[in-house]
Amino acid sequence: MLKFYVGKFLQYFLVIVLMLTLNFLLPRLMPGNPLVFLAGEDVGFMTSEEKNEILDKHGLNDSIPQQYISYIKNIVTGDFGYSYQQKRSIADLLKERMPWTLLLAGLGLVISTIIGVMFGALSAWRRGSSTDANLLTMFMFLSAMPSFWIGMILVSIFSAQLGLFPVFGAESGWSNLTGMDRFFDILRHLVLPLTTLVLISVTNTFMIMRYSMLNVLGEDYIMMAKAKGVRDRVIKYKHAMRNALLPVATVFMLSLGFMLGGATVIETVFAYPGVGRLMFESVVSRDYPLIQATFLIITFSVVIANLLADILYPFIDPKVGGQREK
Amino acid sequence: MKKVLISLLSAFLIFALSNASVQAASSVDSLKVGITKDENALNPYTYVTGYPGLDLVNLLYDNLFQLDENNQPIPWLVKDYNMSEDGLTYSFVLHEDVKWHDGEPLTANDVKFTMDYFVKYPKSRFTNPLSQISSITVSSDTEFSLTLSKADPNFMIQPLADLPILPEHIWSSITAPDDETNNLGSGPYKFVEHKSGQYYKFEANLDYFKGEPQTKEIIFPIIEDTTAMFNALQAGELDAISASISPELVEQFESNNAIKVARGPGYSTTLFQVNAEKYPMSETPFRKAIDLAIDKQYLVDTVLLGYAEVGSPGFIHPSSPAHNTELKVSFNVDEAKRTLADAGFVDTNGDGFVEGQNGETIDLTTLVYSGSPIRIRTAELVSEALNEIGIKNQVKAMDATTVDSLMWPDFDVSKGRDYDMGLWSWSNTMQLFPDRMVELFHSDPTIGSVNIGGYKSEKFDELSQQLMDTFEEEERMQIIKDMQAFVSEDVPFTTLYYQEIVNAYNPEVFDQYVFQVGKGIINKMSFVAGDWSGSSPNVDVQEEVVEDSEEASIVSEADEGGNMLFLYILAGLVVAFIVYILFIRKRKTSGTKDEFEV
Repeated sequence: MLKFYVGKFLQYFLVIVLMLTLNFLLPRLMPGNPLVFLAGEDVGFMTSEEKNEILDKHGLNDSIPQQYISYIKNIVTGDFGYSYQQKRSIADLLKERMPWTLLLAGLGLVISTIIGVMFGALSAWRRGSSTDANLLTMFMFLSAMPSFWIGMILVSIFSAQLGLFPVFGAESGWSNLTGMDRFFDILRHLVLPLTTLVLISVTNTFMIMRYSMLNVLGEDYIMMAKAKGVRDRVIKYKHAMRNALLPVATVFMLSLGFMLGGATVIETVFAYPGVGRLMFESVVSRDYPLIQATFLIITFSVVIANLLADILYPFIDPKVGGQREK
Repeated sequence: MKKVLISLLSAFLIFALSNASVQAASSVDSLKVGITKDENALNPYTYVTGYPGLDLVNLLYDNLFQLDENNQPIPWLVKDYNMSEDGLTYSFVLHEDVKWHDGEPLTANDVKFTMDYFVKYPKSRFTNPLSQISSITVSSDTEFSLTLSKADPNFMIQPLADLPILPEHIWSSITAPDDETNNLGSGPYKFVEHKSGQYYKFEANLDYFKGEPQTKEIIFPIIEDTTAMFNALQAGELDAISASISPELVEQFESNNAIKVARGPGYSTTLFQVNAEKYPMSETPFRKAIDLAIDKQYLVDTVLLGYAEVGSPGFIHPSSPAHNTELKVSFNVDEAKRTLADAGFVDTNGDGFVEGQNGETIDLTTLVYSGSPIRIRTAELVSEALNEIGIKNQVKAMDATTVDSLMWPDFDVSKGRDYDMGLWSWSNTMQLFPDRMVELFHSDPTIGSVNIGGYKSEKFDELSQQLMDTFEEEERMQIIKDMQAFVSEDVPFTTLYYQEIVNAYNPEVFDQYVFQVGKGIINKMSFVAGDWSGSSPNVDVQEEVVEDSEEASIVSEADEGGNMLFLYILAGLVVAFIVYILFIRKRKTSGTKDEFEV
């Protein structure tokens, strides 16, 4: 057992080192540099010395190995550094943006999983019926639509035409709402982006659940239960669905890792102040420290989600743990 | 299923209700103006964009002079001023009752401090124009004088109408201005808060020396996606937007009775840049042929739907006082072909495209920003026009930073360039200062700091020298006009168009916006009461209100009707779907029961 965990640990360590290195190299391999965002709009009227001074100040004239060393040093000490573009501490920025992404993407993940599981199970239970065909068509249709398009349609109907929900932002922060008023304000802002997110991500869970459920329904013990005269409802929920949930749980845990970066497009369409949008802005402006920090957070959470899945799986599915102990 | 429906409905109702209450509470004194970018801390060292970033800074700070509607300087913090005849000495008297937002008085010492500070801690835009000042003398709290080392015709515009005055009692202890977040100024608005990526909030400075500003507070929500911004304006969530409306949407906005559209000349210049260092673009006839092949009027009509001014062959905008009116826009495909043939660019191998004078293959690439549909469309049309006269080329769209790194590596023209041709554009400052033509075309990279085509011409360098040695205003104008005439003949690049600025706002909330030529409605004049119409009659700003005319209302009614119909259909579909699902469910459950329980 110990050996298993040590092995896993080494494996993860290697992944993290690789990831850190790629994370450092990728932004620097992109053409262009952050000068225009460091210097502001009048970059064209600066002398070479002035430009050099700015690059020096931000350590961009150092050799690549030197930059790499200071990058690793900063990560080990937990110092994310300073955003070139926003001229603010990155830790502060992340602290501001993270809750919004967690709220949006977290709720989106939970809701789409629940809907996907319910409909996936229903679809499999009625395999071959028109319900199954309809559900399948509908979900395939949803997954084929681009998220920004769904977002724009929702905005133009529910915001621009009906005026039910706000078009942009996560809350009306400037109106100093508190308590329940603030809660409802945030909720109103959340509805459209959340709906969009659920619509585009629900198909994944639906398909996995449907397939997994079909497999389970073909098992002998379901046949046995039917033969015993167990009630339909019990077979469906107790025998079939619970067992069919295993692959969904795996996907759910892995999705937890992608949560932070997964809503980038939706955050942009709805001007939602999340981490995904921050990442997008940082890439556009070649804001190296911010690119590194956002990608780092996202890759880390993927690794951690994997680790979590590795650790939790034996508890969810005793078969896996049992095999290992042999 | 029933429960789900009921809870959905009740949630729906709650939202509708809370929506109503929020709208009722909001006051007309609060204005929401959408901006497209986070501008960081809004002080003169840290703002990001020239517009609207610097204009937001200027709501917090004041300048000695202020540019009016037509970009002519008018006294602002300065009450009275005097210029010596040789243009070397200026004396100023400041208004007495000007106070910083913390109540401290603004004095001539603050002005001197600011000028010294910008020299000590450079910020190119503000520091470079200060270089002519040889001494600053403060004689009292409100009086000071400046001595210049050489006369500068733009001195009143830059630095005097551009340099924000900083409070000495705060900035004297600041040593890293680029990282500073303080933004206490003397302007009509006080900074309240900034939520990164979300919004800025300003409140009125009730003690402002020009009188109370026109709104109690202004909120600037940050919305990067312009479509979302347009939607927010139409939904009434924003009262005005800083982004210019894209041409295809102008009509839609104009037909919306709740929205007023203000449009006028834009000074941002779109051009077809060529790399004049590289063969065959190094040949004047080749460049001339490119210019002749492009139908600028067609670009304006099709890509910009008429919301632009056709590019003047001499670069300078027709509404600028420095514009050379004798130059005519040229477009002639036959002449373009003839120019090519006469210079020895002929199709020798019969592939339909011309070869170089010594038979070299010509296959060029036109770079364009992938983020801008208008630019891509323009580039495609230009590319087609060039193929038409036999210049083989194709369009390559890449992200802005990548294109910049190829056309203008490190933003330093002395570092060379790696492209053939590209669609480029210069911001409005190039048109505000016509003498910047020197920077555009001078062969010496230290003078021609934005000569990204690497264009070299002794004749132009001579003209530039003349301009730099001349201080007499009329002579300078003449030289600038000569420069335009020369440029229109030698074609270092082809000026395509100046896109109009189209701003939109909700006139019911606030209707006192002032359209500043070349910029738009977000500026100090919009929010401080007064008459800023200025003097220059050269400019034609159109404020278009859609009257309640029959035509307009018919259009909007039809529009509305269409939308309602669409909604009914949509609602019908949803209901049909729910009924269908319920029906299927009922039928199937009874069916399965039969199978198992019998």
